[in-house]
Amino acid sequence: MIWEGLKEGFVLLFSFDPEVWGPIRVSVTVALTSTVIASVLALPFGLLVGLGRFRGRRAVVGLLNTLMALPTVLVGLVVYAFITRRGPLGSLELLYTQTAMVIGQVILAFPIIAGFCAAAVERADPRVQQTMLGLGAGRLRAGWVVAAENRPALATAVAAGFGRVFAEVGIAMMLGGNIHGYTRNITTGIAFETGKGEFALGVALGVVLLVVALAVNLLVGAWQYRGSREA
Amino acid sequence: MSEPFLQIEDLLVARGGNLVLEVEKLEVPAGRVTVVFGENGAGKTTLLLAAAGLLDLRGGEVKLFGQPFHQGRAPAPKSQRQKTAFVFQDPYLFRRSVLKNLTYGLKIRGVSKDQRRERAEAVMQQLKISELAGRPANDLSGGERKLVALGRSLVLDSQVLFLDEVTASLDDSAREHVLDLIASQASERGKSILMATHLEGIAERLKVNAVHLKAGRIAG
Repeated sequence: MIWEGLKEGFVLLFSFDPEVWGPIRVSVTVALTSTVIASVLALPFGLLVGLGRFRGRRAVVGLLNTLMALPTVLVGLVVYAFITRRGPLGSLELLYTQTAMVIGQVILAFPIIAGFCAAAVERADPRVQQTMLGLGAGRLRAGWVVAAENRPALATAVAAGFGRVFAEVGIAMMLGGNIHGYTRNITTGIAFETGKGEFALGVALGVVLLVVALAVNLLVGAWQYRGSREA
Repeated sequence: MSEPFLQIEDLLVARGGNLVLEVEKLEVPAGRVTVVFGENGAGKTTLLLAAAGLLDLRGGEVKLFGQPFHQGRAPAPKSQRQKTAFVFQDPYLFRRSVLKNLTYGLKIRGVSKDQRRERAEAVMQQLKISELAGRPANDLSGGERKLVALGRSLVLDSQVLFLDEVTASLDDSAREHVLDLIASQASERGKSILMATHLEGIAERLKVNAVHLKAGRIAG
């Protein structure tokens, strides 16, 4: 059954069947948007936590580590409570839109990217910051260079965030509603099609999920290899 | 003694809860080289980092040219730090070419691209490392890295230089050349230099004053 499903899945995939490529487009668009927004917010926050010296820093690190394991349905539930018709943001009519999925996924990715970033710069070579300060740089610029010198580690943080949002199903289902041609993405598509007995379609979408995960890993791996050769 | 460029009073530096440096009073004359001499672990690097405003102080104060420079938490204010340049014992070079490493401090200080290049080329000639300009900094030997780190500080043309074991990893001829260059920075350009070394005889070689550190205290 698995082999048959795989064969049929590849046929659907390479015949550019809209039932397969529609959810792929939604997944890629929503996950990329979420990852970019989360990175813009989380990388500076991670740098601040990793390099900063302020009261409560340990507690913030602990909180980020805890939030890395945030259940997607819980995020979905909380955002749902805000954007449902009777919620405080109900008038914005965000529920069952791609925007709602992005909001939920940004919340999901933020602690992952910030946590990995903080851990990376905290373990970074302390001479980088000291050298920058010794050259007369301000703390902000020194922090920026610490980040730049640790690009491969930060790429891993972003890739981890992307991997988490690309593969999640709880937020997409609760906030997107799995609407055909609009909010149905790869993961909700797999759940829906398999439930209907359309095993091949589910497998085709599953293959894409794996291929994208592999491609992101290879990309980050290549960057890390380049970084280690430069070091 | 000429006017001091550096005045240190009641300086206390702790690491991991232990006091590692305790200096009641130290005045370092301007426009000259002063050598901080001591065995490994005597506190030479700690003294230089504290004096340069790069290390937290548990107590005391550092003054630069008579003005308050550093007390409490590091780093000292940027505007003040930019009067100084520091060469670290184990220097970090950025993942860029030697030329870009040399000009990076000037970029921070807002110097134009043409001037950055001009000044870097002059310093590379002084240090006899012009052939390294295009090389990736991470491909260099220990001695070459030391010379690039020294060049990166010299190019800033700061009034004050802190040099930590700057001649370590250099062969005999490079060491002699660097020592002559350091001496000329003070005698010809009026730079104030505080230089840490564990090598006996450097102060005599440069004919300058020495501060002897022992177990985190000034011994003479």
